[in-house]
Amino acid sequence: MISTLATVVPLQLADRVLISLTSISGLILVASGLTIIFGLMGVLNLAHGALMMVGAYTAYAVQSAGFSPWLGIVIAPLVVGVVGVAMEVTLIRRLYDRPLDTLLATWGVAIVLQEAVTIAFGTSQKSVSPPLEGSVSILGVTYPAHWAFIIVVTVVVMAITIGLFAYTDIGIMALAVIQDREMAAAVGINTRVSDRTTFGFGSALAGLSGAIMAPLLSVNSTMGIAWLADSFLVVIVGGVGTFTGTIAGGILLGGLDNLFRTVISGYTSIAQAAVLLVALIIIRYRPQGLVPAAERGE
Amino acid sequence: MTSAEPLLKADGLTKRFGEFTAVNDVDFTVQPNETKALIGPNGAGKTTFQNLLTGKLSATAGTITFDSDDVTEMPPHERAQRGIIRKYQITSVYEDETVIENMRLAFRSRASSPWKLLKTHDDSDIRDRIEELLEIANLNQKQDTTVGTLSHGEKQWLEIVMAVGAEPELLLLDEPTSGISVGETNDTVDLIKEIRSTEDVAIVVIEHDMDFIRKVSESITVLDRGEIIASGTIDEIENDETVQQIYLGEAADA
Amino acid sequence: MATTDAPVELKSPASIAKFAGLLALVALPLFVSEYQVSTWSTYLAFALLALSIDLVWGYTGLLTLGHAAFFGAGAYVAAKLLKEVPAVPDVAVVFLVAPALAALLTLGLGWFLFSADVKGSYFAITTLIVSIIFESVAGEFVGFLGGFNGIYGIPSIQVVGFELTATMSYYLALGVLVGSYLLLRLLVDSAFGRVLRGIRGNQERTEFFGYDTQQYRLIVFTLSGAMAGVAGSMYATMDGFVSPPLLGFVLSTQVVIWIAVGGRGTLIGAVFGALLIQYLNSTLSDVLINYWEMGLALLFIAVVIGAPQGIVGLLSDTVEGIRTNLESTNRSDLRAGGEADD
Repeated sequence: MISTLATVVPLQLADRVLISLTSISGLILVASGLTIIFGLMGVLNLAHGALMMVGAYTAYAVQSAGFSPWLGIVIAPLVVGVVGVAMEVTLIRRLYDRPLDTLLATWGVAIVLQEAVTIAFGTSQKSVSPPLEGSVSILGVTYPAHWAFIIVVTVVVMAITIGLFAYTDIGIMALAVIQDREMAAAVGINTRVSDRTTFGFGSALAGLSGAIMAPLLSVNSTMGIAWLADSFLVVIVGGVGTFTGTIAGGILLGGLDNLFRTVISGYTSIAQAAVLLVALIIIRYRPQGLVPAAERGE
Repeated sequence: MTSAEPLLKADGLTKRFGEFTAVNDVDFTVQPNETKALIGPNGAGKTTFQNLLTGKLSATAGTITFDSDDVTEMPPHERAQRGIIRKYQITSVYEDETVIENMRLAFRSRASSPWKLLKTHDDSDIRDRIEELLEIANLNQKQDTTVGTLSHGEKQWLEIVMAVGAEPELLLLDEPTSGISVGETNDTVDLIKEIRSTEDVAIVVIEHDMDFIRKVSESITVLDRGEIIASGTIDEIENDETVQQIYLGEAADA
Repeated sequence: MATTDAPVELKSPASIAKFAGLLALVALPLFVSEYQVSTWSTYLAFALLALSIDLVWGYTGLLTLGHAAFFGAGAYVAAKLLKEVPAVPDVAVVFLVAPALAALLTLGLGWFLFSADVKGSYFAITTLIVSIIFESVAGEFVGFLGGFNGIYGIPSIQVVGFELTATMSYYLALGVLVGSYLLLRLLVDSAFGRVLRGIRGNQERTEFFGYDTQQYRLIVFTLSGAMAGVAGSMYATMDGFVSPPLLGFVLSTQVVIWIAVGGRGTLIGAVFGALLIQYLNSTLSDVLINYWEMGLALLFIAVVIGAPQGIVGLLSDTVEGIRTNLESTNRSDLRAGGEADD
């Protein structure tokens, strides 16, 4: 979870609320890509954290080449989207009905990406500047502008993504392919291209989240691992296959995380462990999650 | 009214999935050593009914009594331990294993604790019986063949003798002729007839192939939309108008 | 799958290879420095961890991505007791207390998950989460568990007041590894092992024959937890230092990679993969290490996609192929009519 946010000394309620909102938003944003790839497509992508990491490094690379942080935020999803499509074409498409092998192969990809980034950029921690410096005043509290930016981006991204899949032709077709491949093919949709695009889109979201979250985090090759676990938990607990599920999961787990940190202050890892335990219990007793996808004649 | 205690007695068996009733108040009995067939159009609830018998699904209402025990709440492995063995559909053989390994696994299933199996390293006690059954299935020459390379029909026969090897008292044969050729179907008939003559087992066959059913079983029960609509001998059923109506328009066998 | 050979027969190439490998390991201390012997002891400990995972994953089909949690638990138990509670004999700590605790944890987790029939990918992800929990909790308790810095200065095992040298520890580890291998061999070659493979192939089908697969899974999971615990406790006494990553999922998945590349479901493949990769790892300079890791990951991906039998499997398939060719050549020489062997 976002430990850098929560190390702030206990504050007034408004502070707490805003910090919680940011950390919840961050969770949802990072998990959004996995919602598509795992939630919708059913691909157990253990490279999700690494894709986020590549997004963060792309933002870094763009910045260290002298360009504006905004450009980094635009380029990151493009780069990672391409990586995602490459993954789908070479690997994922062979493994659609082999879930355990998908877990393993994508973990292999995660390692490859981690090593590639280390070779290219070295092992030192990198830092990334946010596009919006300074602070804003909300509810009488002084608040870093970037933190507010994260909340805004998350809301916009979720709205666009939900809208895409619910109202646009591309989105509806993509859903059709996922839910009933044969039918979609019979109607003339190119399922291969659809899979590729959907997977690429999910990867791009992961990359975007990496670029957006990077200013808050230490950018290193293994930064994605913690987010990988968090994303899976948010998606599974929230409800595999629905965006509202991810939002619910993010609110629940992010909220609990902040709650535990406030209550058990000083023992952040215990708070983390407590959240993970809650998630485990939910997985065991309600595996369909909080907001399950509707029954899809299977 | 039969005086002998039935081997299997399903009483008012019902299964609902939300609003949808897949099996509705079904009464079904099987006598020891009897062979019955269960037929019905697709979606009639045959598979659901079978799943209720084996314990894969739990009943919404009704009871199942087997060998005088109430097995309604028992999990699948316990029912199998009591002798309800299902010949699984073909995609469920252990594809990566050899024929003989598949058989050995089936044979040791009844009344064997894990601890006992830890100490079991050879199959000399079951060897002869395995070969006897493989012989009936015409697979004795192929003991060391990997199952994945067998033909569809051979896999079905292996499945059947595996099920027999598990010492069933009630054998549920789920579509034993699906996907196999006419010639192989005749062999399957012989196989089942052989089993009936040498083994002490009741059989329930779920099938579409009326010819096949005629050759292997005495009585038929017809299921439609989750309910039993007719039950009796083959001739009675074939002449039953309600049954004929159901099958009109169905791509059933002539 | 390779033919099962009794470990002492010397007929097949597989047996010869295994025996040669064992000889090499026995002779190793004669050829390397004491420091390297100590390093190899840790390799053996990790090989034991790999064995324990192969039992659960390779044979029973339960992918576990968090097994280091039990390894690390054993390691921490040994660390704490050996340093702070000298009253308990070291041998008891390493071979009784540590595995008992690890087994208890595994039993608890296993029961929690199997009773709800959590399997497949959900099982894998859950074990991954458990590993993460363990690692972060260990990192938190600075006072009790040393926090992120871990616990150092763990002594070697003392037997009746006499502290084992590096070489002795090595042979102890080797003995435990070989002993565990033989024990598992007995297990997987028995009818019990056949049920495990049945569970791997089709759990539901195996249930429908009458096997209580929950019981079997619980037994092997707990046994493997105990083995991982012993591996961890031995490791602590040989390396002298434990820290949170020993519990974490990076180590867990690393071992899974070793097993996959070596050859899952063969026992020997796990040991071979573990020892080979750890050895190769150590011989590469820092400069090359990233390329090596990347190459290994790519090899792993290739194995997962197309060669699940791993190196050992590929080797034994090659040998089988050569042998079959030789046999059919002989047969055609003799002009025997009967079986056509394909």
